[in-house]
Amino acid sequence: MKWTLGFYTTLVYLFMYLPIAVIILFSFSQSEILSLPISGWTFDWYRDALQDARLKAGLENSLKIAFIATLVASTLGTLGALAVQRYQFLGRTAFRTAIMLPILLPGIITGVAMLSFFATIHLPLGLATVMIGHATFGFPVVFNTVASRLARLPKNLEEAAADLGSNPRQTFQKVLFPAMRSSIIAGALLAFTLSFDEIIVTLFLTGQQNTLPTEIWARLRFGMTPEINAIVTMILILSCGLVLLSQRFSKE
Amino acid sequence: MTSGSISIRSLKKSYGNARGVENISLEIQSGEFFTLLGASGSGKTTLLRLIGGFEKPDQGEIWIGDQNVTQTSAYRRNVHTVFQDYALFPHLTVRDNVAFALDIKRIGASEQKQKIDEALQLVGLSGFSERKPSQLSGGQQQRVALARAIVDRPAVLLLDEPLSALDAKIRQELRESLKQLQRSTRITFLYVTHDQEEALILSDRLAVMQNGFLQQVGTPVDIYEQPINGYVARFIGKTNFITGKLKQMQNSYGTIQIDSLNFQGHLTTSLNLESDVQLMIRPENVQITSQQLPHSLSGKIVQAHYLGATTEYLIITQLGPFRVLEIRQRGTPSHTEGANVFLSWNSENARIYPTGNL
Repeated sequence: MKWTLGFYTTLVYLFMYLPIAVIILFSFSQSEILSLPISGWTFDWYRDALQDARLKAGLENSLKIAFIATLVASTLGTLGALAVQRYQFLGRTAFRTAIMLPILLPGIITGVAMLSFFATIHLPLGLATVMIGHATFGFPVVFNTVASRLARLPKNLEEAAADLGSNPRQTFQKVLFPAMRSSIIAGALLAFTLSFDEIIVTLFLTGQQNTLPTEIWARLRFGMTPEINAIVTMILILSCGLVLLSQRFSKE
Repeated sequence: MTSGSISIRSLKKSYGNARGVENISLEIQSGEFFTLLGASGSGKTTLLRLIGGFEKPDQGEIWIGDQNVTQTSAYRRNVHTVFQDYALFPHLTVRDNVAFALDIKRIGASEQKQKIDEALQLVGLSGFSERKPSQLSGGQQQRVALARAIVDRPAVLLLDEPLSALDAKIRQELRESLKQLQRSTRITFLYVTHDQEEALILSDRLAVMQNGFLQQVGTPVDIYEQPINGYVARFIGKTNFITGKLKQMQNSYGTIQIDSLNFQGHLTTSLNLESDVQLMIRPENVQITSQQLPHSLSGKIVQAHYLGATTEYLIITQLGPFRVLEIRQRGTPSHTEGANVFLSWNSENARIYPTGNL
């Protein structure tokens, strides 16, 4: 019984992670053709990927977009969380649900809806429109982590600060903001990760420029190359690192 | 040191139609350990929050020392609060939590260190200054909250049921610490609780509150021995009640009649003959005898709980259940379950209240 269970568990994990393991493996393979057995090991594909002008441009665009989208999402998400957790107002529950929609909706809907909206208001497509699109799903991510932190804070933290003589500005600076800081960082890292490898919304909203994921996607039409394995491996490491870091901050 | 007297003048606060405080006037001396005692919803926490500055009254004035603070913001009052759920700053260490009020006042580092060390020592937490609140037990967290609130010696310390979230054993320990802390700092303590035992043990004086009103203000002895009405008598300690009609009044004594039995007691207020009244007698003032005495009540013991120094009896009489507390120097309880007995008491220990007042 124990043995069977272990066997099936292994199968499930292989099902999930074998494709990723294969990509990592082949990114170090000397041969241009992806085939086993591997004849020799190399770091050349990483060098090639990092020197490829179009991949570099894509990486640069992705970082720009992720950075700005995260900044917008973090600001709005934090303010939204403060509003929902600290104040009673008409439509509070509806507001909360509405905030969560962008991550629940399929990317294709967000993409189409924003595309037609930007067309209506004659906003030309480009990096800016992608940033706006990415900010919409980053916002609920930050909102969620910050709101759950605020919910766990002692209710009368601000009263305690005022009680000890701090004015409202000092209370925010010395108590409220430090107490939420790590949750804002956690939410921001998560929003950054989501934006960095997002592809569906990006395809709809980008103009001429490619992000790293759309550049890779475009290249795949000509087949898998070792450089792609290398770049995907790098994205994987970055994303995992950011998510792990985010989890650490949200637990703090 | 600034005066920590509190003067509350015709204070009123209501929340729509919900509970609040109704026209309260109260004088608390500087250096006093004063307790507001009441059930939940009695307005005791509202009164505390009004004094702390977290709420503003609809009417009336609050004075602390010689200052009218009625409209003063919480952060400008020389008053600190110990909250029921501690409300420690989770991102700060114990030391930094305690330093908070000193930081705000921009007190220099060496003076800060000395004051923080002294405060932590007073609450018995000297070795814990670098820990985070999450690494402490509930009792330790409440000690940090206490140190944080006394570190800059406020005129008044408000304590909002500070022990109610703790285990019985920790509660007792901390109760002793609180009393010592108040005695050694001479800060005015205004303590809110629903626990009558706590109130009796800790307070120099206390006020019993109900439905937003002060029912009685006095020392623990005053309030236990001479409760002003039936509500206070019921709330503080255990009591037996007999309801009947007032038949006779003589000096400060009255006679009540029920089922052709007559009982005497102190009159607490002026009453009309033939009005409905209740007679209150404490369990420890009732004697149990095997023989019938004049004005005694017959009954049967249905429970006898032996508690070592005392024995608690529950006796069913013709006038309903009676609690009797017997204090014995030594030996076994003098009566057993199932025995038919007679209850009597000295009429000096009985008090008569109108029934209207619960």
